[in-house]
Amino acid sequence: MKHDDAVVFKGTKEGLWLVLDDQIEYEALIDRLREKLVETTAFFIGAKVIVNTGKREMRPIHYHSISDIIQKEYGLILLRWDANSKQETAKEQTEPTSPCVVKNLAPETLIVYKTVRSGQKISHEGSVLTLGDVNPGAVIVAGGDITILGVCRGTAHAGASGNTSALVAAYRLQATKLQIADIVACAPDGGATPEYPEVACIKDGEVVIETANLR
Amino acid sequence: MSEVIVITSGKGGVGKTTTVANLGTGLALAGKKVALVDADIGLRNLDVVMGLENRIVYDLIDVTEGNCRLKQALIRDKRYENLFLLPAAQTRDKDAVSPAQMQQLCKDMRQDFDFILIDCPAGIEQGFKNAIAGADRAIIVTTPEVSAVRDADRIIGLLEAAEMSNPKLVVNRIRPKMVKKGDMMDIDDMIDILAIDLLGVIPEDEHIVVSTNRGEPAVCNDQSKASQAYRNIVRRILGENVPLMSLEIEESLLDRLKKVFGL
Repeated sequence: MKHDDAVVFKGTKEGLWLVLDDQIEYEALIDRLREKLVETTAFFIGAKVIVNTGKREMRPIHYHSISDIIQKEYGLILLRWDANSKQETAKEQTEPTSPCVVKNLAPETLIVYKTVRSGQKISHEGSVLTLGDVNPGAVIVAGGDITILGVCRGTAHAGASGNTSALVAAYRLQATKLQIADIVACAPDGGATPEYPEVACIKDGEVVIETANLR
Repeated sequence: MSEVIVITSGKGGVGKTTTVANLGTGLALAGKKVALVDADIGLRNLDVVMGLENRIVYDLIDVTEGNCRLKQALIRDKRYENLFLLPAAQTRDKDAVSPAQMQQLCKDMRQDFDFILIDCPAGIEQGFKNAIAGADRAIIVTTPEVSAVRDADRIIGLLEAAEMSNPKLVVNRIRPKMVKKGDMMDIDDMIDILAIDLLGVIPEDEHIVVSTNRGEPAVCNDQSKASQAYRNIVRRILGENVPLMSLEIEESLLDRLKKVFGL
């Protein structure tokens, strides 16, 4: 069996894709990946890649080792994971536990398992869910909604690609700046800090903050 | 097993150097062999705080550039023979040393010392990167000010990015009276934002100013509350479980009299 096309680089508008065949054996895939990277390393070193694993059933260990090969051995930068079939892979996917990350539940949602701290910026074309606080000076930019299961004290920009129906929801919404699509709202000086979850959305061309409706 | 600990903060003037001097002296008092490394090249202070300024012959840059051996540059403390200082160069700047050189330096020093404390410069640039390069873990010093806490948060983020997890927090210069009145951030507010473990709390104390100016670390002095707090932190670093000391203000005689008379 020939595996020449098992590992393919593709350039798209979104960036460089590394497409991994989902039919061949995992071990064969890894060998082929190494070969491919040896051939192309001089050209792609330092490049940011999105890795597509097709319909392969990826286990956490697979993510770890592929990520290690790409990043540590050959010096590419892994931007994110991508898969073709959402339903099947959604359950299984867990990401390497590198400090700053994140797993793709479905490709649209980015989950951040930590406090986002001052100076850190998380950008994602889909929705973003953080399981920690967003501290002052931190920035989250999402094409879709932003949900923060903690205190939001930083800057949140939902619907960054122009989606005016995007939401920012937080367990405690105390953002210094909120932006939905291209409408910006700044925190009032000395405003009250309610002790309940809130949601921000656009109404009549303005960002409004409402009590989260938990129905 | 030797341990390399970097003391950092982001913001300047929160007490990094004072903390290094006191923790280092405290660890030496506890019988450990300790080296203090001043990584604040171009703005060296640790030698002054330790009272060792006029004993400097060689410095950190001389060691990394191979002008002298490590042992020649290490200055033995006046008071404790198991305490050493590696001073920073004053005539150079942060770019005179690289993270790789600092890593090598820390590796070389590990063989001779139980603890190596690195005094990190303020800021997040080259000096910071150098200081954390060879460290196993970090202690973050902050004061109860919004700006200092903001900077500490930034530093914790950068340490995470450098894969140095689990830094510990020291809150310096707290004034219990002001906290009680609600005029100063309290410890819980800071822990809430920074979400890291607390290593200790140092109260504001005039003794520190005096001891810093004299070049005698405050831990040597039994009376002051700050020195007590530093000694507690030393014990925690050594693995003991020491409760936070009470910072309740003792009531003056007048206050007590007032209470008796219901005033």
